[in-house]
Amino acid sequence: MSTPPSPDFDVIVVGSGPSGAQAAHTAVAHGAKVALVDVGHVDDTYAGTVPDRPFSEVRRYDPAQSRFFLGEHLEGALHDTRAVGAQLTPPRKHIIRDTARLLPVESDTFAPLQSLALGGLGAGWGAGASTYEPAELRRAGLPPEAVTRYYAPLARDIGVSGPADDDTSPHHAALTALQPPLDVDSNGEALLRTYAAKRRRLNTQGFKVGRLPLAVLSEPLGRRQPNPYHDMDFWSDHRESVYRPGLTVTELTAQPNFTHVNRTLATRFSDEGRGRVVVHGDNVDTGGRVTLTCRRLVLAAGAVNTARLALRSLSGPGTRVPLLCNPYTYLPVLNLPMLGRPARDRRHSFAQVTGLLVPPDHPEEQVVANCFSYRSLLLFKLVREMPLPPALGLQLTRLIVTSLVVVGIHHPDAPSTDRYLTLQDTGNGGDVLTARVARSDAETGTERRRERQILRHLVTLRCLPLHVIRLMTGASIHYAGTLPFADDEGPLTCAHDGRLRPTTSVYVADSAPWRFLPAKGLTFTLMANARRVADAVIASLERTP
Amino acid sequence: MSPLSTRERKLLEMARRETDPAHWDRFQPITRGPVVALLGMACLGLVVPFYGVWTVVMKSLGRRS
Repeated sequence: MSTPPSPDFDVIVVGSGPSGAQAAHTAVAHGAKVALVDVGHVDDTYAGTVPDRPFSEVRRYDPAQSRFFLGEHLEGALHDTRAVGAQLTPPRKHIIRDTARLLPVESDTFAPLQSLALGGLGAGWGAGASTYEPAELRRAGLPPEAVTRYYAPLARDIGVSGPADDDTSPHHAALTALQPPLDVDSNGEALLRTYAAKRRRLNTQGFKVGRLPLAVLSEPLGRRQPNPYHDMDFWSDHRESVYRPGLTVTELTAQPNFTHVNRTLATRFSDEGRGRVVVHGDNVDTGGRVTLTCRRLVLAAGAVNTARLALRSLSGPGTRVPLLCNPYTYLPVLNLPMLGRPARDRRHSFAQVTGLLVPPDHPEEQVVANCFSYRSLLLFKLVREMPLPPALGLQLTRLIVTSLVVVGIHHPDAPSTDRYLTLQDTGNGGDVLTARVARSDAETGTERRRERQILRHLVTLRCLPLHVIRLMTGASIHYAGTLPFADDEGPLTCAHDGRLRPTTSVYVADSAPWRFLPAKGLTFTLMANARRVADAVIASLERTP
Repeated sequence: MSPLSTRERKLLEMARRETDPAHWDRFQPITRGPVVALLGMACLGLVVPFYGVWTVVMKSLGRRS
């Protein structure tokens, strides 16, 4: 009997998003021979055309601005504002390129944002670097001490700025190694001033306000430069002040034990036992088949697509897996102390202030309200939403824009039999993920009640709500729970070290195993947990070479 | 792609003007204090119901013709 040849790699990581990049980084640092498989779309249309200048200057002087503000095909001007990816600016549209064709999801109730870009959804994330507190980690099935010890080194490596302490700090795991917080803009300052005056009243009602830690530099870090407060963060990555997972992948390509298998969509895997896994994929440019072998496979394609790979490879059509996704509502509000007053142009584009509603009966079911000023996304998009003739809508927008705050409300999510994914045959040799996402009356009632509480607290903060906009499930861009952690050996579940059952050599480094999705942004914990899983993978290689 | 409605055409034209430096000042915030802002909003607030009724009437007439 012949012995199969040695695997090509010690570790193959599928996906270059926040989890994949950090898992690969950790495995490479241990000296393992690592390949990262991804499609890796980049912006090859607008890169280099967006000037490294403040938004206000670009608007006033740049004769070529319409090219990147509106897009070559007016893709930034003509769209359904509630469609998947509508929030992406033309220089970020590459994030969702080819996903409808290569990662199909059929559902009337779930519209996920998926990515085949270098850096995955991290190529456009809002840079929120919240940490989870132990109760949230435990409910998600993540071992608190094992995860939180990765927070500080991760913050140091990717660069996180934020306050050392504020009223929301007791509801996060402590985060050291922070850079100083970024400056808040005029709206944020006004909100924090009002909060200081009303703090006691709001706190007794379980509402706290603070600054969101951001993976945005306020001090230099290596070749990366601090944020220049140009308010162009939705349009370009000048100075690399915002952490993007693609930065980690690009750095890894200089390492001799790292291979970037780019332009490749992983389609399935087979665990052949005895520490040998075969990964199959397609080259998206040539259509050619790609086959790679490894000793350990790490899936980090995002909770939805990791589930797609696992179902296709291990189960087959018809099997259901659960799905978690944060319900998301946003509301434009008028910050009345800013009404009619000028706002400073010097600002960054990310969340300025965050609010936390902490239900006394279920403190881990916090609801998050992140506050963004509306400035660099152009006025005509607001006019579109107004029930007024465009000319009048523009005048109203000019009157209110300096005081306009967009509040994004995220609710937590827990497993339900009403929310699941299934892989279905399409009959022509292909398959498609189908999803059903329904919320019970009790869940909806709880969410509405907590939104009303937040609305009341916003009024206390002198913010006048204008409208409540509820998007289809999936718009939060936070997905989890498809291959849940479990203590028993059930198939399509994960052990606590991330190993996917019934395999012996396939691990999951993204949020697919989480059994609970807190309302706080998941990305920072995703990255910390990916490092933890990668360490477990390396340990397993050392135990059974 | 379906043809643009009149409103969509106007909005597209507005988007083009907004990203043209020649029209820069017509898209700047009006910051003449809270009183002017409130008066402006009140005036426009009167227009909203009128515009709503006008739209419903015109649509209704359009359906009959």
